Order: sequence, then structure tokens, then C-alpha cells
Amino acid sequence: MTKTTHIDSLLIGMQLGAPVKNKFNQVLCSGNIIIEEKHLKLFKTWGIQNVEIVEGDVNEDGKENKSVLNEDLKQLSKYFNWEPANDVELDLFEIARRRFSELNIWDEKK
Amino acid sequence: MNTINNKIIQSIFSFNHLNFQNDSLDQIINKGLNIYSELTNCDNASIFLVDNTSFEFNFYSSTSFESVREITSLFDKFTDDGTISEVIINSEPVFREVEINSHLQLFHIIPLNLPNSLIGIIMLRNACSLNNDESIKFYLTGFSINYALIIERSFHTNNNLNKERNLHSPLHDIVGINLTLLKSLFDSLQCGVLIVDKSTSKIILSNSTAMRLIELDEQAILNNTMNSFFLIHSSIQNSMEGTSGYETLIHRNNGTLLPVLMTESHLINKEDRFIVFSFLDISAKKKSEDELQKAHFLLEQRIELRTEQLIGNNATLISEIRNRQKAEEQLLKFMWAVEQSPTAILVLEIDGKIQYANKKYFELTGYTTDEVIGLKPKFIDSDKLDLDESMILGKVKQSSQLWKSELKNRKKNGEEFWTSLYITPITNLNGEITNFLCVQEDITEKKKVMEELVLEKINAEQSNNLKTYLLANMSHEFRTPLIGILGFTQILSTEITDEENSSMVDFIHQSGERLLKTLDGMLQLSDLETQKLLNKPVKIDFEQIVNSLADKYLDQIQEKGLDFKLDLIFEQIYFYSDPQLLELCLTNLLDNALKFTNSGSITISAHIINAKENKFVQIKIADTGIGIEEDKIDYIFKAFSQVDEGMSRRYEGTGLGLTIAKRIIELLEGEISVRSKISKGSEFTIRLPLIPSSFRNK
Amino acid sequence: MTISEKILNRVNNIPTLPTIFETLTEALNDPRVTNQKIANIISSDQSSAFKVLKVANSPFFGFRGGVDTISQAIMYLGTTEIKNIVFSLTIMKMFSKEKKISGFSPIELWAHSIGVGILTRAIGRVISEQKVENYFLAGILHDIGKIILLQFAHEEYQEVLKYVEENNCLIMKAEQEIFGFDHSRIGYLLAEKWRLPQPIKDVILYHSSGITNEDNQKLVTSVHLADIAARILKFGYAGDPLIPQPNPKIWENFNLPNNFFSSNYEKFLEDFNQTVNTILVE
Repeated sequence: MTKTTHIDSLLIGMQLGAPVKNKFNQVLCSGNIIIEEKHLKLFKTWGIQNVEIVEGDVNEDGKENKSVLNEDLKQLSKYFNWEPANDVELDLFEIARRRFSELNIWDEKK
Repeated sequence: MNTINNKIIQSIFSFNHLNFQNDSLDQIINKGLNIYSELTNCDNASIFLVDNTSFEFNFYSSTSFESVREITSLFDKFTDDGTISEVIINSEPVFREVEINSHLQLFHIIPLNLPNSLIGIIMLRNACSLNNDESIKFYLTGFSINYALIIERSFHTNNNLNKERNLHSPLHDIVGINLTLLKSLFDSLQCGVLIVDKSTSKIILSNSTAMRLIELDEQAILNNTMNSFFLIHSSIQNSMEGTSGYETLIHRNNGTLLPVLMTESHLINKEDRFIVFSFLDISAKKKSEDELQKAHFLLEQRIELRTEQLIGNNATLISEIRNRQKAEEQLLKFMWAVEQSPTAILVLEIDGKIQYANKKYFELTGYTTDEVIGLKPKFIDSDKLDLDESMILGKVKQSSQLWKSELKNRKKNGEEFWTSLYITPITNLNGEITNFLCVQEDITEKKKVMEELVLEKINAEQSNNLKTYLLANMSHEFRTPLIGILGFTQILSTEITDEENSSMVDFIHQSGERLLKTLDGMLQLSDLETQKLLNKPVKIDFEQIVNSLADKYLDQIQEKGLDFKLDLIFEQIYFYSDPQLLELCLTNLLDNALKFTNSGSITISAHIINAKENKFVQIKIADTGIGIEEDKIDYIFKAFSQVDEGMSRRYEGTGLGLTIAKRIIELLEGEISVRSKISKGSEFTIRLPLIPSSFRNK
Repeated sequence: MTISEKILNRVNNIPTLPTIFETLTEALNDPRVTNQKIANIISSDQSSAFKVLKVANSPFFGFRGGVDTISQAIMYLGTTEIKNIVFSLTIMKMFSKEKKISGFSPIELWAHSIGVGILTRAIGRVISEQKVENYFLAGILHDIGKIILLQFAHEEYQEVLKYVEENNCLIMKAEQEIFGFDHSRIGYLLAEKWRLPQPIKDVILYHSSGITNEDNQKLVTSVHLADIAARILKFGYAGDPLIPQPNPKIWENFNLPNNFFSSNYEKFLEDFNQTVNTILVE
């Protein structure tokens, strides 16, 4: 289910239900992406009034956190092909998370 | 109309892609912007282009040199308040008045439209004439359409790569204007600067200092990540003298590392896309820190060494004190030893006066301390030896050597005794004689024994001479009748035909001959004892002697089936000796060898040996006979001893041969020795001087 | 001759240990030797003595700036630790740091090794191992085989790295595919040649599996974990970007505090920075 939503009531993290097009029918944004700050700006620039948003409790804390964690794990999984099996290994994941975020711009994103 | 001059109109109409064949996108865009500026009299004309993938507006260029930040923030403002979207939706320019720093500024926002898209937006500031003159608006609208078309065309005519590079020229993105100025500014910086695109983590820009520090050219640096060149990446911030940053290391291709101080900052742009890494070479600073630390370590090491030396010195002092104590103790012990010594000891002053006398001296002489100290000693109190003590002391003083003597002395009570006397000088460290040490020992008893011994020796010698004399004479007395017996038995043996009697006569003859041989041997020996045989040495050619011996022995040796080896290296062996005696000696040795050897060989060899000090001739007679037991070797040169008493039957002989041989060699000033192994054989070695000393001395 | 035979042949020609180390070992085997004698031997080479002092002063040995002379260093750290520091420095000096191949340089590998050394020693201390003297050295030397291959099979090693990149696998696997043996084997050969002590040999041979015989199990496990942690913390580069899982068997006999790594995170980074700066910068 999607819902037409005015850009003033859009929130970061919402998911687009359909591509957004400008006056010239150029696709500014493909469907089903998660809305970020830069998208809001883009809509405003091009004079977009309404967009289609996927219905659901996207904003609930649990889901958001889980998604963040998954994102982190996804980042790590490029290097780790295993999952922590005990607390020390979990601790290794923790330092990996810290270190990787620190070195974000140093390292090549493969 | 008067505000528009013809030149502008002309440039508007000549703004045609045919005229821009060789121009880059940059040039075309900037030329167009200048036309906007001239046409409208604005103080700034800026252009923002649409990215054809993200549809974001990017600042591209501007006619005046001023902060890109200011211009982009204005654009952002117009985005936020909906001006931009209004321009896009209506495809019409919009006019706005904005108060900036309490100055009213005029802005014209103009879309660059193509039939089916928008390629960008033009922003004019304070284009006053635009509000007054309608004809300018007309030209402007027309020009904008043309301008958009030409930019679009230029995207396509310039090859794709070119277009890409120009559109995304990082420096453009970052600063937009006055490229060369900024580029040279950028390159003149003392710190290395690398700019990284956050979205790809790749380095997109490097200044020349960065290239110099990394030791790579731009090509090799761009499009790599930071960790390709920096070894340590740390977010730990050290504050170093006001600069915030952290230390890291550039690792170069040649394996060297360069310490740098790194600062990171986000480039403030309309979008947070770039990170600027700037780094300062701190190797010199590090090196001087290092030198300082090195100097510190060296100093500490020196201090430690010095401390140790001091401790060492202290230890030396302590040990010196200990040594002195020990020396004193030793001295005391020594004094005690002197005092308790069983020999009488005197210490004399340089003039001969007694300085010290030990207990034994008083015991020996019967004097008391008072009677001795400070006086001259009375050890010269001898009748036989007329010696002056000052003369003796003078002698000792002169030679600095021990003087010794044995003399008769007299005790206090007048009793005589024999004493051995030793006098040595005592010198100080400079070698000067300060005292004399005088040691006396009572040798009265020893003297007595010695006298007895001398007497005994004289007696023994006398009796030996007598014996030799007797032997010599007696032998002659035996010899004469024996010759008679032998002569007659020889005649008898030819006369007698009866076998039994004949063999008896033969036995008598043989026994007689044996007796004669023994007698001859005894005679020789006694002659040797009395040294009658010794002739004056003459030059001997040893080859001759060996030849004559060979003549004499060859038959006997072959008869026994033995080899006679003369495979000697016959150098020319000449030496001085008594040839008769030598031959006699060799004969005895060969007799001996022949007697005890039943198979194998007898070998004679001779060499001149060059020993260190003197030359000598070495003659060896070796056999493969029965040999001599090791513990018997010492006895074989003694008279009348065959090693095995029971052997005499088997090996008949006088037992004098080796004794004679040894005696001869001794007379000839040589040596004889034997090596032997039981049942393997014996080897007699004779060494004779090339020239006997008795001869040489004459 | 096959590639592997060629490489093995080259390894045989690796020089023996420098004389200063021989002298030192000999002196240390003498039970009557004094600290001063040892100090004199080390001080005979001023520049390496200076480095030893700098390392001894680095925070992870716990004497920040307090050690001023070699004999003090011996007093505080003990002869074995000092010998191991000298040894580490000597070996790093022996091998060229120039033989860089695309995406992998000896410097990065040494930095990795130093990282493993620091982490191994830290693990050794937290599991209250009595003798941690060997722990730093073990970390430094665990990948000596790779150093040798980089140096003596320079050309061939590029193939290995290419294989790693194409297959996204551990460098060990790539070595086995291309050479038929891996760096632990080569490292072990060198350890034999240099007559290194058994614990170090075990580390070189078994650090990737983390399992060995009883005697040196704790040391090998420590290096095994430190290797993984150093990869996570991006201390240098070990030749491949992967982070293997610790061998599950090691936990049977090994207890590490749950938050050991995260609670010491800053300290590890600082120790690493400092030590790399001290050891590697000429």
C-alpha cells in the first residue's frame, strides 16, 4: 500500500512507494528508496508537491534500530563471513564497528 | 535603447556553436556569463547546472571572484523559499529583492530551458538595467534559449570524457572560480593537501606538496584511498602546540616512512561531500626530538659509567686497605717465622754491625743479645779461613749476589763447630743495598758424615783399580796355558779316528775356545776400564767399516738363512773416531744380533743427524730376533748378564759383548741405547760425535 | 625446477643471524654473565641501543620515559625481554622494506606484525600468563614467512595477491594454490635454520589454526586472536582484507574478559601508533 503524501509532511526514513518525476518527466528518484535529507531538498528544488509513500509503521523505534543494526552488519559482512558465537567475538564486532566508522573515509569501499 | 550598445548585440548574435568549435565547455560558459553581465550591467552572474543523474544543482561558474559559499548559500535560500521551484514550474525568470547585511540586493533568477528539460539556472545580482529596459528582457530571453542550446550541444560535441571531467572537475566543484589563481595558491601551500570524496573514499585532488611528500606524481596518487599512503590512521587527536591533529606516517614506495602531523576538515560546501586532509612534514622536528633523546641517553650512559668507575675506585681503595692489612699480617707472620727459624739468622747493617739476631743464633753461639747487637759478628772467628768480614761484605755488595761458604766457628765457650754461611744483600725498592742477611747453619754433623764418605770413596776406588789390574794380569796368566790346550786339542782331533773320542776332543776344543773368548772379553773390558785401548781418533769412512763387517759376517748370516740388509742411504759418512774400537763394538753388537736371531734379517744403517746444537752420526743395528723383555732392558749392558739365566745353554756366549760395546761407546764419547719388543726383535742405536771433544780440544 | 623448489632454494640462502645477536645469545647462556656485560654488548651498536631504549620506554612496556640506560632497561624488563626486543629490531633491519608489490608492502606487513605483537602481549598479560617475555616477539615473528616470500619470491607473490583479490580469500589459501605451501611452512624452515626456540616455531606454524600441543597452547592462541584483532583494527595489512573467525576450539581452554578488546580500544591504538613510530621510522 502506498499513500500520497505532501512533501511538507515527509519524514526522513520513509520509503518511497513510486518514482518521483519532475515537470519534464525525468525520474528524480526511483521508487522504494528510503528518504534522506538530500531527497527532501531535491523535491523542494524541483517543485514536487506530493510523493507516494509506502504505508506501515516505518517509524517505530524497534524497526528503525534493527535496520540500523542490519546496516552495520551489512557493512561488516564484507569482511566478516561469520557471526559472533560468544561474548569475546561480539566484542571483536564492537571494535570492528568503532574502527570501521572511524576509518570510513580512509578505506576503500569494496 | 541607449543602454544597449551594438557591440553587445553583435556578440549576442554571434554566440553560435559554429564559433565555439574549439572552445571548451568552460570557455563557452564563461563567455555566455560575460554576455549576461554586460547586457544587464549586473555585478555578478552565476550559473548552476543540473547533474543529469542526481538532478541536483551544482554551482559551475561565476563572473566575479567572490566566495562560492556566499553564492551557493543564496541559491540554497532561493531553493528553500520556493523561488527556484517557481522558476522551474513556470519556465519564467523571477525577480527578487533580498536584504543582505542591511543592503537591499536585486536578484534575477533565469531558467535555462530546453524543450524537454532544464539544464541549469542563471542567477544575476543587481542587474538594475533589466528592470528599466524592456528590450533588454527581450534580448535576455532569446539569449537564454540560445545559451542553453549551446551548452547542451557542447556537452555532446565535446567527447564524453571531456564533458565528464569538466562537469565534475573537483576544483570546480569546490571553488568554482578563478581556477589558476586558486590552483597556484593550493600548490604553494607548505603542507600537503589531499581532498577525498566521501562517497567513494578516493583521493580526487592533491597539491604539489603532497606529491613531493608522498614521492609520487599526481597520476599515481589520485583515485587511491588514504590508506594506500598512510600507515597509521587514528582518530586520536594529539594537540601539538596549538594545532589539533594527529601524528601519522606516510609510507613511500622505497620503504621509508615520513612522520607527518595530519589534520582533517570537512569542506564547507553546499553539500558535505569532501574531506580535506592536510599534513605537515614533522620529520625534522622528530629528528631533533630524537637527537635530544639520544643525547639524553648518552649522558645517562656516561653517568652510569662514571658512577661505576667511582664504585670501582672505591672498591680499589677498600681492597688496597685490605691488602695493606694483609701485608702487615704477613710481615708479622714473617717476623715470627724468622724469629722461630731453625737456622741462625742475622741482619747486618751496611757497615757490618749486627742489627738483629734470631733466637737460634743465640742458641747456636751461646751469646746473649747485649753481647751481639751493635757489634760486628764473630763468625769469621776461624783459624783456617783467614777472611776479613769487611772484605766479604764488600764482595757481596759489589756483586749483589749470594756469598756462601763453609767454615769453622767458635762458640762463646770456645767450642768449635762447622757452619754453613750464606750472606745476601737486602735491597730497597731502588735497588740500593741497605742491609745484609746472614744465615748460618750448624753443619758439624753433616761435615762429619761427609768426611767419612770421602774416605770410603777413596778406598773403593783403590780396590777397583786393584781388581782391574789383577784381572788384566790374571787373564794373561790364564790365556797362555789355554792357547796351549787349544793347539793340542786341534792336533788331537785330526789324529783321533774313534768317533766317541773324537767328539770328546771336539767338545774340549769348543769349551776351550769359549773360555778363550770369555778371557778375551774380560781382557778387553779391563783394558777399556784402564783406558789402555784408546787411540788417537782418525777420520773414518763408515762405508769401509761396514764393508769389512759385511765380509766378515756375510757367510755366517747366510748360513743361518738370514737376510743381511745394507739398504742404508749411504751418504758420505765421515767422522773422527777410533776405528778399531768402533769395529770391536759393532762386532759385539752383530755377534749378539746373530746369536739371538733365527729367522728374518739383520740390518745396519747409518746417518748423519743434524741436531740443534751438534752434529752426530747415528748407527743402528736391528735384528728380528727373540727380543728383550721390557723390564730387562736396563740390565743387558751389565757384565755377565744374559737376560734369561736359563738361556745361556741355548745362546752360548760370554755375556760380556754388550758391556764391552757400551763401554767402548762411552769411551768414544757417544751413547748407546736399545729398543726392543719380545719376539719381534731388537734395535741398538749408537750415536757418536762427528769429532770427539777430547780430539777437538787438543 | 618448480616455482616452489626455487623459492625453497632461495630460502636456504637466507643469511644467518647477525653477529651481535649471536654474541648476545652466547653471553646470556653464560650463567655468570652480569647485566653490565649484556648492556655493553647491546650498547656496542649505538643506533640499535638507542632503539632498544626507545622501545623499552614505549608505554606498552609500562615505563613511559623512565628508562634511561640499557642496564636500567635490563633491570626493569629482564634479559629475555631485552633480548627479544633486540632480536625483533635485528630481524626487521635484515629484510628490505622496499620490495613493495601492488597493494602490499613489507612496511604494512611489519606494521601488522607489530600490532599483533602488542595485542599478543596484552592478551598474555590479561590471561595472567607468568612469562610474557616471548609474547611480543611471537607476534612480531608470526608472519615471518610472508616477509620472506615478499623478499625472496617477489615476482611470484604478486600472483598470490592477484589470487586473493580475485577470490576474496585468505592469503594462506592463495599461497597454497600457487606455491603448494604457505607462509607458515616457509617461516618454520627459517625458524629451524635460525634455531629459534620451540614456542616461536609453534607460533609460526600454528597461528592461523590457533591450536598446538599443550606446552605452547596459550601463546599460540594469543597470537591467533591478536592476529584477528589486528586485522579488525587495521593495524598494518596482512595481505588479505578478510577477518577469519577465531577457531571455536580455542575457547575450551582460554578465558578472556568479555569486553577485553573494547575496553582497551584506545590504549591499543595509542600503543600501536607509538610503537610503529618508534620501531619503523628510521
